Amino acid sequence: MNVAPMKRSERKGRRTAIRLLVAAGLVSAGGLVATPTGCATQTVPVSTRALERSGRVSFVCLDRPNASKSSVRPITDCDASTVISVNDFTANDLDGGAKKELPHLYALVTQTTRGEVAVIDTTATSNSVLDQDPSVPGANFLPIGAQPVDIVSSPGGTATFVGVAEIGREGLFALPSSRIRPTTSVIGAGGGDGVGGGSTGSSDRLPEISGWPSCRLPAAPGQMLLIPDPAGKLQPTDKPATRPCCDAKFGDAPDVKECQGDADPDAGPRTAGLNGKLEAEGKGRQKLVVTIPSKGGIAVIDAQSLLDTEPGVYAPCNVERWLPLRTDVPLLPPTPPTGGVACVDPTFEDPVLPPASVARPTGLAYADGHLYASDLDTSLVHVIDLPTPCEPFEQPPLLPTSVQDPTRVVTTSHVAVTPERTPDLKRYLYAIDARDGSAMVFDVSDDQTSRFPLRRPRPEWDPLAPSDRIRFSAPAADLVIIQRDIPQPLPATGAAIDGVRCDPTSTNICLATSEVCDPGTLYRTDLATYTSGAGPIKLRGTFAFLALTSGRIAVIDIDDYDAPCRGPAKTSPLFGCDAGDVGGVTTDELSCNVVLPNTPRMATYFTANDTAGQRQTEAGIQSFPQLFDTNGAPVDEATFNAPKMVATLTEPASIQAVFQLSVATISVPINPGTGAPSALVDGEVVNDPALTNKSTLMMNLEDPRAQSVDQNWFVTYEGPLPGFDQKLASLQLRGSGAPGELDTFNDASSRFCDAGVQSKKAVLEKLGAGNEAQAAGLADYVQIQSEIPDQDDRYWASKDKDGKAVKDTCEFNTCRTLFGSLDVPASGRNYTIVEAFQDSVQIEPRAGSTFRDAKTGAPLPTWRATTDCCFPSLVTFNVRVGDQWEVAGNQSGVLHHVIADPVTGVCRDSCDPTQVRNNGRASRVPYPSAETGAVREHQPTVNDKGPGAFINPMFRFAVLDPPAIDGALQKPVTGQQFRFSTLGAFKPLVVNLSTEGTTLIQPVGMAFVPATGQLAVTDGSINGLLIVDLSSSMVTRTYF
Amino acid sequence: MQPARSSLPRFPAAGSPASARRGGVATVALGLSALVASGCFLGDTTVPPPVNAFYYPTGLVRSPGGSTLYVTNSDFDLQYEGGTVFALDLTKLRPQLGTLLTALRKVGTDKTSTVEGACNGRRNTNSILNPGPCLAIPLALANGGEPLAASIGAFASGAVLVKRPDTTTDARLFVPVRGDPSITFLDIANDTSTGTFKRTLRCSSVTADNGARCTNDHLIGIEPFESTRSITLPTEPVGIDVSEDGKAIVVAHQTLKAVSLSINQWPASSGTTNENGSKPTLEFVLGNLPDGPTEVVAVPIPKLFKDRVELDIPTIDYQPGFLITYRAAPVLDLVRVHKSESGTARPSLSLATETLISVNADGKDSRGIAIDPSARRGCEDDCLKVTDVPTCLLGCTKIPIDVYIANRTPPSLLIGRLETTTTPQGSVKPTGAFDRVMITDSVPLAQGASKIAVGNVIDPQGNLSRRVFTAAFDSRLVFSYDPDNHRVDAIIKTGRGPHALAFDDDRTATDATKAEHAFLVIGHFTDSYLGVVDLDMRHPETFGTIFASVGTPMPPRDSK
Repeated sequence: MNVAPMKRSERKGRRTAIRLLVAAGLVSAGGLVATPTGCATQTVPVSTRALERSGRVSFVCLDRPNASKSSVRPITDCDASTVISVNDFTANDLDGGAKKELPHLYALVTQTTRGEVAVIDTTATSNSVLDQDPSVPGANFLPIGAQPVDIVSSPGGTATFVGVAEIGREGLFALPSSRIRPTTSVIGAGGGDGVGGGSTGSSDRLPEISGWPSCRLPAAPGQMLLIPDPAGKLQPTDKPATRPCCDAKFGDAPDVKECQGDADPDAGPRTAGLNGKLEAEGKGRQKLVVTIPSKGGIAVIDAQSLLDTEPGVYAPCNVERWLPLRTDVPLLPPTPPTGGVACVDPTFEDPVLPPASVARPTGLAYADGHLYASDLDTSLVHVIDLPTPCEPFEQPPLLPTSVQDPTRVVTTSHVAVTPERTPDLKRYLYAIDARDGSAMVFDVSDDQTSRFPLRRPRPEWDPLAPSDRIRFSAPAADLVIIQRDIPQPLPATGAAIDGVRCDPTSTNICLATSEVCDPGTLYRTDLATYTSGAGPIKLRGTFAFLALTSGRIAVIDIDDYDAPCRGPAKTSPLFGCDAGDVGGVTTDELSCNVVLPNTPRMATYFTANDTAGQRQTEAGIQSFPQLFDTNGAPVDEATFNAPKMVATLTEPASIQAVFQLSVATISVPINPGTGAPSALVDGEVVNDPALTNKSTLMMNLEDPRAQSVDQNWFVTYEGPLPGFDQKLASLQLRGSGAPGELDTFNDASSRFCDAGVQSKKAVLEKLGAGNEAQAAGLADYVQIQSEIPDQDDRYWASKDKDGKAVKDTCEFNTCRTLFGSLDVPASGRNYTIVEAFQDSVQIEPRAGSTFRDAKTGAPLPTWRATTDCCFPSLVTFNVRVGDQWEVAGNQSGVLHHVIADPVTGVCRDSCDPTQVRNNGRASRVPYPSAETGAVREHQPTVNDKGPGAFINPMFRFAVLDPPAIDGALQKPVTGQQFRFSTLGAFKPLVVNLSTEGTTLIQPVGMAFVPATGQLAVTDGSINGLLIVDLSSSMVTRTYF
Repeated sequence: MQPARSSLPRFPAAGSPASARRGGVATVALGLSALVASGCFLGDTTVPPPVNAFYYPTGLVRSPGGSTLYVTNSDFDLQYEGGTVFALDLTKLRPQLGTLLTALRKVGTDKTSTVEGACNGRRNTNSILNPGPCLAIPLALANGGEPLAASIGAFASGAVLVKRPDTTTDARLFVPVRGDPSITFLDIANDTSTGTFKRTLRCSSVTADNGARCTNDHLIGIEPFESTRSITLPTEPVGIDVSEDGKAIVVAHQTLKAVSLSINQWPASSGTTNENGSKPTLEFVLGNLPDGPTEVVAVPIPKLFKDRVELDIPTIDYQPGFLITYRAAPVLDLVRVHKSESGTARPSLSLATETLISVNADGKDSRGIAIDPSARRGCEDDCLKVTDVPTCLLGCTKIPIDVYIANRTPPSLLIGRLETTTTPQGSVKPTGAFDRVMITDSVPLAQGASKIAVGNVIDPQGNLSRRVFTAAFDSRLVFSYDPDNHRVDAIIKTGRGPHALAFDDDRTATDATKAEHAFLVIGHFTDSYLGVVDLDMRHPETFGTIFASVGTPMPPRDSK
């Protein structure tokens, strides 16, 4: 029984079924359902789709079919021009009048379910998907065997090569470009981007799988590249000549014995050149460099030899070079402890390396004589010195790791490398983490100093993002790195120079009449309109594009030529500027780090300037923070017996000129002396009685990426930590004093350290010995949220597990008195957390509890038995912060940097300096003076590094206690709450591939089309091939 | 335990039953959904279900010893008074499959061999109804007579098998039945016993006739007085799984945002069916979950503290867990079973963690779920060979368990992992442990991804190699995903409505990493038959194809 290839009739039946099923799926997905109650059906029209589960794509440029000469053209001969018909190869000359030949750009897209290659004429706007056999209904493509893995075309367009992983038939196929177009000229009936007919081809045969030159591999291939073996010089003439195979001499004939290899003796004679001559492309002798994952190495195969192979034989491929890749992962150096007071270092263990095995290379990238290979099994990115494909030599590898999880064995699935060095001679390699789809960046420049992933220079500004990788909410399925420019012509000469950086400081500006000027000034933003010049969607420089499985393309800045012109006009440390930042004629944005190498690109201007229109984003708040009382009612800001939120002040005074806050997108000056919202009069900040009493805060502007999401914030005095709502814990009150006999509250699922719980002992370590009472107050406490059993519950008349009658220990009324109800809880429900672990907390009755002696404050001896008796089952609970303000975002939750001590298991702050802004507790600030006037006149100020100052990645503030009354300090009331909403979150530049709102999209591959400057994206779902225009960052065409 | 877990696939809606019966396979399914919703009930409640033919099969479970294949038939178009459970004799079927496979492999290599000859003159010509090269093996012939059968309610949506831990002879089959609704359980024989094995299928204390209807004492959730909370089973039980110790049964209720917990209890005497007080009981319903709970899978307990958890020794804080998928929410939930404690406490479920699915365009509409604990299990088994077993087992808990989900928006295989953290770290006798689940990747599939199962193929070197199989109901495909190479490595073309999946790979006597054969059995819902796929890569000529069908394919009525 032969299982592959499918016969033509089978393919036809399959496609018909696909159409029906896709239709059914679309109906289902769209929610367009017939009404069952009417017992009637409803017809829903749907588009027919020919492409399904596309894999990867490559392009060739072909001229009008011509029997007498080759129609192959270099890929750069094609451009973005379009015509309507697949048969139209002429276009109007730009000057009008005369016609000129217009070659067509063809996309070859692997179809992974059918084992075919679809050919799409991207130059034609109608019937672009070519039907190889119009006599058979449905779209018919080029059959190449099941599980096509990769496809690559020669740059001159002579042929395309496909790697196939069909089990038992793994191999390579060559598709000569002369045979990829249909043989008959029949325009299909479909319109738009539907399935089209064919153009006049040059072959007289319909494609069959046995009709392609092909060879068999020992195992399934992975990614492959075409890399030229350059011509050498013949002696003594110095005439350039290629070598037919790696073991031959330059200038040797193709059939020299050195090139016979292990060729199958049964293979027929080679038809040299009949299917095209790759050397005619002028790139030397092209070699296919192919990863063979399960064999742990890379094979080098002569592309022309494969193209010359007699079709249908399927002999073993002649592997000219085989490079087994290394598997020895060097032992990583231990991370030195960071140290610190009252904190613990995160665990560090070496990754548990798998037992010695072969490598499993998959992805490949090549630049400047170096080949890079990702590896799915071994924690290495292989670096291969490859002056020519015939001389591969493995160099010391790159070492993918994870700062967040140093014990993890990090492997990689894809790699891409910057095609050219940046102006500062840097070259970067991007590798996708095989486990989570994040991207790591390696410096592979000649002067590289580390083989580990690069880290962001100031990770503490944005601690929510990993410092050593770029991560989105969905993993990256593929990536490409593109270098592009949109050069502006000089006024005097009209010449346009590539690679010019925007210059914000030069005074020698290029005007229309300028004879000599600094070309960098041509790229400045038009500040009157923000519609030209440097901007978020203008991509000049080097950028990485990640295809996310969620149906989006994310853009990463690597080297933006316009970066110098993106930033504030006047620099400030508050904007994250350093000494090298100069300001000047810039986009007047509120951060020096709007463009940051190797981080996600921002989709908007980070500015308060309304001129930027829809592309304006400014971190701020919707309205001033509002205080609410414990019943949820707003508290009048003029009520002086209430707490107040103030902005913390910044030193030195020289930077205070930029002290401002965006409120509802309007900039409000903040008085640098008081931290109160103020007015600006004649350039001076003056008090505004209408604003002085309002609570306020300051946004952090150093790194716009720290503003991760617009959200609502709740700053609650003794607020509950989130995450315990549906948890159930057991009480184990065995505090006999004997070793191991502790009073604990157990629930491993609660993960108390991960939730940020702070115990009395943890606080005491920070405060120092002698502050036990204060530590007890600041410690978090458990609040039991279960009801005691109903009065008529049979429990009260039962016996406990020791056989003792329950009523001998507790009764309903006693329990109700001690614990109250959920609506009217008593203080007996509150237990201070003495020590916290990931799976449990040690507790004792909280100060003021009904289980404390009113005089001595000591816990009553009955508290354990009574609590255990009143709550016989698992209990629900809250954990509230003690005597502090809890800062919670409805998206971020309560930020903290508490970890479980790797040695003792107790919950403590991490010493990791990158986490210092991960905070969710604000201390109280005493307000020792009374206020009696209309405005607060004695309001304390708080320096942003002083006691009581709160800072998280997004903003900073301090909360003042209510003013003292008659000399007596006041304190907030549990449950009092400030509320505000942040705006202006960082919006990464992403291209949404779902043009029709469909969820049936899942990008799997990408390719840059140099001919058009566009990005081609293949969809693993039903959307075939999508073309993304990099000037607009939008999908401009879809072929399905 | 890798039991079959299934639910009925979701169908696009359609209209009246009359038009549905005209419209062919998919339309029949569509119309039947409408039938129930609109009250246009046309089923025959007086005709007993057939015991000699499959009828909309939804669940396949191979017995642990490999002697029997249990098949649940759903009576999806309500032509009968209920569905059935069959116990197929694999010892009779397997030689027939072997003979056929050997003959088919000769075709193409041996010039004298033909498909016609391999099929004994019964070559198949209708590849739509039956994708195999030969006509189907009639059920009675495959089984050596009519299969052992029992009648159950309509709309069975899967099955799961549990071995009794304290004996080697008893086992139970739990079947969620939407028509009752109930969890119907059948007492069966455990064929791993070294003694004489007698195939049984008992769910009635009244009669032992073949095909007899299961009685109420084998239906969980019917009578409120049997429950300590006086509750009955919520409607639409679909996904089901059982904890490793066979005690906790968790079922997803598709329309009620709820999962239920039942507790299994074994009879005091081995071999008896259902003594007083030993009937499994419904204990708890966890509500307020996201819309559309669909499938359930039990999380294995690390061996380091498995005994303490199963014996309910309170020195470890870790509860048996189950993962839940949802149709209408982009999340994956982990719920935990809390066993009976002091006072009036009764078993209950709680939501431990909720994992957001953000790896594909929408994340909603998750269907089947499967886990692969083999790496951790292998490590734990190897620990028995070392001297410091606890330290070895502690290391094994750090090995993540792979999680796979079939999702439909877009059709994709979601890949994740479940990680277990013990506390305190590094202790060989931890006081607690918790699990975290992460969904990290998405692989495109084809329309109608539904059932999913982890099994083995025989690789070219003859070793067993893990694969994840996902049925795409609408597309008539089953995808084989290779976790080592991170890609789909084979696509199996099936008949109409592939749904339930089961594996049959008998290890060699000398080497557990090798097998004599590896088959994938596919329950074809639409045309009511089983397809058998060869999973032996050493034979590319038959690998990944349905080489045999069992039970005569029968298209939906009035839609031929």
